[in-house]
Amino acid sequence: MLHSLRRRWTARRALARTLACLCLCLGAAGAGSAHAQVQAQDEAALKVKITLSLTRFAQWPGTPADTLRICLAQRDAAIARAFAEADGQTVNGRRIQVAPVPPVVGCNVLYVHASAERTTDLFRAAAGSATLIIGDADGTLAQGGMVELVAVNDLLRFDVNMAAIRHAQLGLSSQVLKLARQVRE
Amino acid sequence: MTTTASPSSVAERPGVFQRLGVRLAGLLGLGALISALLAMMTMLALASYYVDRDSKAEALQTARGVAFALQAPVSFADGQGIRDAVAVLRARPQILGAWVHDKSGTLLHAAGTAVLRPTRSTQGGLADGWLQVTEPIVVGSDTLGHVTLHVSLADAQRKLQAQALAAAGTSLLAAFVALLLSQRLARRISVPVAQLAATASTITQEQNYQLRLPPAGSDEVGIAVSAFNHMLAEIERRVPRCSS
Repeated sequence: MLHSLRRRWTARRALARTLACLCLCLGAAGAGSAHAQVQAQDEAALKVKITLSLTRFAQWPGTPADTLRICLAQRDAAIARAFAEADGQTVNGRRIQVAPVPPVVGCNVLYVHASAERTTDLFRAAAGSATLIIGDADGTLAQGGMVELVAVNDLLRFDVNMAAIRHAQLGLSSQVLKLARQVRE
Repeated sequence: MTTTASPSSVAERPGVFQRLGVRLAGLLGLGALISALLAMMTMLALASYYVDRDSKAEALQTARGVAFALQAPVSFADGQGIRDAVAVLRARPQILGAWVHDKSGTLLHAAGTAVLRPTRSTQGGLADGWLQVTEPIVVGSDTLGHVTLHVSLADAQRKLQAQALAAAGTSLLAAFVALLLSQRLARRISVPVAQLAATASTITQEQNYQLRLPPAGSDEVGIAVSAFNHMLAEIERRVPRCSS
């Protein structure tokens, strides 16, 4: 009888320990997930800030319109939220209008997130028009993009493809080129 | 027969400071000294004004240049770019402090040893020995922040002091030369008048109407001397008739 009671007690303690461990693991996983979400949101906000700064120093052919249309290709909640916050803001007196792609026609800026699909089609559609193409996926410049955002040691930098910018008859201030990690001619 | 009167024949001479020549020389010297002092003060006031104005203009010009260089780094919040743009100021040792703020007023970068005064208007001046200027960082119609510079004016003050010393020395020298010249000029005017007074006094004492004064030029004093001699000749001509 005593032996049976001790066995039951030991089994309960083991069960409690297992449950406690499980709770701790779930808690840690939840906290880690929340932290990752915050980090992703911060990174997305930084990408939007850099995009808006680039538009501040970029020149489009012709007379600038009252609105600056930023077209967004993405399948990422954080970047969508960050661009949604920028919608309606003004840069150099131009109101920002964020729109999804396709279509690419009429876009002053095309932002292609790494999560976007069929990017080759997007780059092809935007090629030749006066659209500043910015992307954060590896190989954006090789695909025909003009500015590629690159994470370097916890910092977000950018590379510039001047040939593509010139081909689209766009201009980018030399001040911005000084800050670029790499400028391809 | 007529004789020319000499200054030694003067019966009694007035005191040094009552003499016409001394008073005239003093008056001319005082005028020259006041003119020199006024010229020096005007020169210094103008120099101070222009140094103060030019220092402010130069400081604002420098701040504008830095604000332009900070446009992209502040817009992209690029810390290294901001540091590089401000580091250019190391070539100007008179700039003792530089601060970069974003549009919300958050300090992005500070350099130098000076203390930031919490105002965006231009502060200080030549009298204070320092200047604090603030220039907005503007791209198109967007104000991204502002840059503030603290400029030491100690060098300008030293230059102005050297200028003041040079001006004071030159003014004193000019006053001294003016005093010497005024003495000579006063003597030219006063000597015939003194001789006239002395001769008149001698004639009164000695009843000697044969005395004459030497010619003293063609100015008013010379005319007076000539008229006095003519008057003496007339008296001399009439006195024998009266006595007979």
